[in-house]
Amino acid sequence: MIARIALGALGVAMTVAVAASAQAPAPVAPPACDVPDQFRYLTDDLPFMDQAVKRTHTLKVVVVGSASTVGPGAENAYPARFEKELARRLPGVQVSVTVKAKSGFTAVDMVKTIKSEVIPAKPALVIWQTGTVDAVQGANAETFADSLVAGIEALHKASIDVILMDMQYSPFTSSMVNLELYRKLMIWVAQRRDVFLFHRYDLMHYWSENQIFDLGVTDRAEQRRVADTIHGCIGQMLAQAVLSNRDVAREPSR
Amino acid sequence: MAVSPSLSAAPRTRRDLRLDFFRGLALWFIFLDHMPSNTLNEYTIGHLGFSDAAEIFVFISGFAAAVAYGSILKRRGYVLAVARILRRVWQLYVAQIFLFVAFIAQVAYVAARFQNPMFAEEMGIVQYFQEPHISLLQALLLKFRPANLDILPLYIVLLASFPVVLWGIVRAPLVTLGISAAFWGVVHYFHWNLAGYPPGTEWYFNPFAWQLLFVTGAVCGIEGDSLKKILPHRNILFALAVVYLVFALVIAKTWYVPQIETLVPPWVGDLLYPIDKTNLDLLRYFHFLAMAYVTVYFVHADSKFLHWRVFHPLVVCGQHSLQVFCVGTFLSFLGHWILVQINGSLPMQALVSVTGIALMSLLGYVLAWYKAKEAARATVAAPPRVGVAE
Repeated sequence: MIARIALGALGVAMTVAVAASAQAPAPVAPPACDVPDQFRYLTDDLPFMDQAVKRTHTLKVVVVGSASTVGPGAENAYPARFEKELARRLPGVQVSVTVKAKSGFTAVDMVKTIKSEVIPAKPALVIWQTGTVDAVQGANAETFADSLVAGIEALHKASIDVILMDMQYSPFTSSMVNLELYRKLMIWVAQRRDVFLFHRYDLMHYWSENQIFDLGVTDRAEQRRVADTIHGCIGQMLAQAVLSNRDVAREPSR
Repeated sequence: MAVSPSLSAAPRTRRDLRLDFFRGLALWFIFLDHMPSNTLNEYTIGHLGFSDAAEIFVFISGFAAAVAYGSILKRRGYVLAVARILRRVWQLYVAQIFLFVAFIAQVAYVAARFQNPMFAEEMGIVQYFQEPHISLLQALLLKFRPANLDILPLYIVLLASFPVVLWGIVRAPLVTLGISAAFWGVVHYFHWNLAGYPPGTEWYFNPFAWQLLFVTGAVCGIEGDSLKKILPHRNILFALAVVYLVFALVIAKTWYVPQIETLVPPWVGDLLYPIDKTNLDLLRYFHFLAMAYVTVYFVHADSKFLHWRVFHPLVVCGQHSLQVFCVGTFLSFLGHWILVQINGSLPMQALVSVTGIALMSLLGYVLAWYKAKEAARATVAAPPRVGVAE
C-alpha cells in the first residue's frame, strides 16, 4: 500500500490505480437500500397532496427532470419504482406517476414545461429534478435561481406541491463539472421557499464513498445493474420521504 | 523585492511576510477545495463565512503587484514597469493553457475509460471536444474555462489592466479606489460581464466586478497609511468586523446544517440571498475585508510566528504563487483520482492532502534555491538590481 501511495504522489499512479481497481471484484450491492438515518428524509408540509389523497383517494404525480430522470443506462428509472412504492404504501389510493423529462433540459426549459404541460395536467405533487445541465453548461447563477423560484411559485399558485431533487454524484464527473454553486443555490431556494429538497447528491456520495455501489465499473452489463439498483433505491427512498409522517400511508411489511 | 530563500539572510528590502504566509495558505486551501472527494476541504476558509480562498488570492495578488511594480515604477520608470507587467501576463497565460491541456487529458481519459450511460449528461463536457477546432480556439481566447480553470483568466485580465491602475494609484490612490468602486456599481447595474463559451455563458469570476478587490489590495499595498487616516477608530472597526464575521459564520453553517436553519429569520435570508460569487457580492467583499482586518489586528509584520520553521513552507509557497498554484491545480486533479481509484478512506484523504502540500512546498523550495543561485550570480556579474518577486 505504501509503495502504491508513494507512486501516486509522484504522478504515475493513475495507471496503477486503474489496473488495481480493474482486478478487484465489484462490491456486491446489498438487497435493501442501506443508508444511515441521516438520509431517511422526512417531509412534513405537503398540504395539496394530503388533501388529494384524503378527499379523492387519488395521487397524481408528475416528475420533471433531465437525463437522470429519463434514466439512460437503467432498465427502470427511479420514477417507475417511486410509483410502485407509493401504490404499495397507499392501499386504496389510485396512484399515477407521469414523467416529463428530457435529456439536456435546463431549469429554464423545465419551467416552460411546468407552465405549459404540468400545471394543466393538475397533479397534486411535482418532483422536480434539476441542476445538472445548468452546471454542465455553466448557466448564469441568477437565471438558474430565478427559474427555480418561478417554477415553485407557479406550482404553488396552482395548488400543487413540489419537491426538488438535486444532481447525481459520480466521482468521475465531479471534478469536471462544478456542481457546488448550483447545489448551494438549490439549498438556498428550497430553504427560502420552504420546499423539500431531496439530496440525491449526498445520498449517492455516501454510497460511492462507502463502496456500497461501485460507480467505476466499466462492464456495460454491470453498469446497467448498478444503475438499476441505484434508481430503485432512489425511487424507494423518495416514496418513503413523501409519505413520511402521514397517517394515510401504512408501513408495508417486508 | 527578491528575497533569498533562507529568511535569516539579510533581505535587501523588508518584505511583509504576512503576504507570503496568507497567500501560501490560500494556495493550500485552493488545492484542497479542488478535490471534491476530499472531506478535508470542509475545513477550509470557504466554510467559515461568505468569502473563500479566491478573495485572499485576488486581494494579495493586487497588494503584491502594487508593491512590486510600484517599486519598479519608482526606480526605473513607467515603461519598464508596464513591460514587466505584460511579461507576467504572458506567463500567466501560458500557465492557463498548460492547465487546460492537463484538464482535457483527464476528460479524454474518463470519456474513453469510464463511459457510463448513467452519467451521460454529466459528461456533457465531452460534447465540446467533438468540435476541437472551436473549443481549442475558445480556450486560447480564454472564453472556454471548464470546471476549476477560471481563476487564472481572472488574474490575467486584472493584471493586463494593471498598467492603468498603477498609473492611478501612485498619483491618487483614494480617487482610484473610488473609481474602481463606482465601476463595480455600474457593472452591477448594467450586468456587464465578459462572454464565455459555450455561447450564452459568462465568466464565473466577473473581472469587471472582481477588479474592486484587486484594486483595494493594490491601494493597501501602495498607500496603506492614507487609508488608515480615513478609517474609524481601530477598536470600533475591530468590533464591527468581529460581529460581522460571527454573523457570517452562523449563516454559512445553516447551508450545511439544516437543523439550525430555523435560527435565521426568513427576512434575513431574503435579504442575503443569493450571495453572488460571480459579481463579487458586497457581503463577500466586506467579509473578506473584515477577516483581513481582524487578522492584521493580531498578526503584525514582525510577528514572531511568521518566522517559525513549521510555517516556512507556507511562506515559500506564497513567494512562488504562480508555479505553486499551477502545480497545486494539477495535483488536485491527480489527488482526486487517487482517492477515487485506489482508496478514498479518511486516512488516505489526509495522506493525499499532506503529500500534495509537501510537493507544492518542495517546488517552492526548489524555486527559491534556484532564484538565490541566480541572484548570487547576478550580483557578481552585474551591479545590483531590483528583482520582482510575486
